[in-house]
Amino acid sequence: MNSIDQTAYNSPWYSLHPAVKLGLTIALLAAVLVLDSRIVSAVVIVAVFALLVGIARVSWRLYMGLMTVPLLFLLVGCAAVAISSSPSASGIWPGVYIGGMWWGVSFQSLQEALNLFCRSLACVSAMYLLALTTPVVQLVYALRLFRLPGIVADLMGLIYLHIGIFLKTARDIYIAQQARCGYQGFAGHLHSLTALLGNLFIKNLARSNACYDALLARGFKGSLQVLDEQYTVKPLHLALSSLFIAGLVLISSFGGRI
Amino acid sequence: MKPDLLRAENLAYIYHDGTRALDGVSIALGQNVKAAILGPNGAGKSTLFLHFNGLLRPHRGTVYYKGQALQYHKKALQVLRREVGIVFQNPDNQLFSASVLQDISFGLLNQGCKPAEARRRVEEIGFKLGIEHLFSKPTHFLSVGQKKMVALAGVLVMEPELIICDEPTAGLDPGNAECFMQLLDGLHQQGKTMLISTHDVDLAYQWADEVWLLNQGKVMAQGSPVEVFSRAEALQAARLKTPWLLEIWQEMARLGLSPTELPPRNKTQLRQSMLNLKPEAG
Repeated sequence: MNSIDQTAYNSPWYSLHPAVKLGLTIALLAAVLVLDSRIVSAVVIVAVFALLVGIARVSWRLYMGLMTVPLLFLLVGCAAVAISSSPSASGIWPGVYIGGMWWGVSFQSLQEALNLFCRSLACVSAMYLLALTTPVVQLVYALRLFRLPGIVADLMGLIYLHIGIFLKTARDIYIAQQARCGYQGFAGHLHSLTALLGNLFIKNLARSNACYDALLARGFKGSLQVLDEQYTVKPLHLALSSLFIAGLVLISSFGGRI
Repeated sequence: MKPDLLRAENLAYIYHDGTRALDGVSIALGQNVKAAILGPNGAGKSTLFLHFNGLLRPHRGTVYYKGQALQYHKKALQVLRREVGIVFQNPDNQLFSASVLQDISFGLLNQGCKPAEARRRVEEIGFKLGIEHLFSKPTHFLSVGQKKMVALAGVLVMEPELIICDEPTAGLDPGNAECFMQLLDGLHQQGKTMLISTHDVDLAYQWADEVWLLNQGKVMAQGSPVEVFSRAEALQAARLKTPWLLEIWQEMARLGLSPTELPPRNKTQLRQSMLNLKPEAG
């Protein structure tokens, strides 16, 4: 989580208006899902990679690392979709006969799996485009502009900050346990882990209370009113984003379904 | 005589587990003083501070602000919290937002300050404390020293009359600690009333004008630093030590070298009195 966060904060696109970044992401997702064309998906995957690594200076090592998890997940998932069954052996390859049905890969199921794979990966790419250039604080700000209810936005911000604190507390407890010979053997593992989870809860509760006191001390009245950084929408960014989406639509109408 | 800014009379507070955190504490804080509550861990310092802006309500006794007993309904508390700012010991508990700018502006907007005006004041305070370059940084990537500064900024921006700092130097390196205390000095010179808690006897001795020694929820000694720190038995009971400046001065007096009437308050004064001792050359 930290590497994504740090990349977003140091991104050359940090100062872009968050609503433009969020808007582009939503438009990309919509284009990929609605146009439902493999070539559009492929273009999005390649374009996002080029944009992030080439222009937004994300290290390609990091990007590849981030892509590995969804890629593995997708390969397994799509493999399952590619396998189909039929009462006759024609059109099924390699055609294994189990329980009165022929099992294997058909042209249609392969098409389906490939479609699914491309669309999913394109959507993941679009989400990374947002995540690697937009810190959560900006995202919450943009969502507020897009009429997300205030309480949900407040919660998003608080949860984001507290995930960090939560992980740090867990790591501190884990190290403290290890330093005193925790996690030895199976029983020791269970014992230490239970203690970690239980105390994590108690510690975080105590911490939340302290946090709440500190909010009250500064006159908290039930909603987190804060100032945001000021961003300006550059016409160029809007134009380029629109051009990108228009290009995708054009490709899908000419290229059709390949 | 000016009325006290803050006065606590006979405060008692008992936690759910039966701990008597405060047991009859009385304190009076004049306007524009530099005061320190001194005490070992668990003496009740933080609990006492939470009473001063109405976060805790005493089980016995009363807190007065500008001569008025505290009222505990929402509106009165909002007004009080505008005047009494607390910088908490652990900045991680105070910084609720991932953005420095958002966090500093929080209290100000709660006061009903207009966004444009709030932005101006936040920028001004950031510039004053030298943290304007941190504004776009996330709070969780800051060092402890930086977090402490942001926490202070979030309170200062509300322009409170009384600024309370719980263990201001805890977790800071000597350089940062000195910087932070100089900042507090500057605020005092601007007319603010400052109250800190600490278990650092040298800090309390050199920085404060008035000291309360708190131990096990009771005030064991109070007065000027020299008065309080001369009460060896009270210090011992609280497991605190004599400040080194005072100890050296006392030792010199014992050896018949009595340098000055009054003990030195800082290194410069000590040095001066030692120079005075030097036999005239030639």
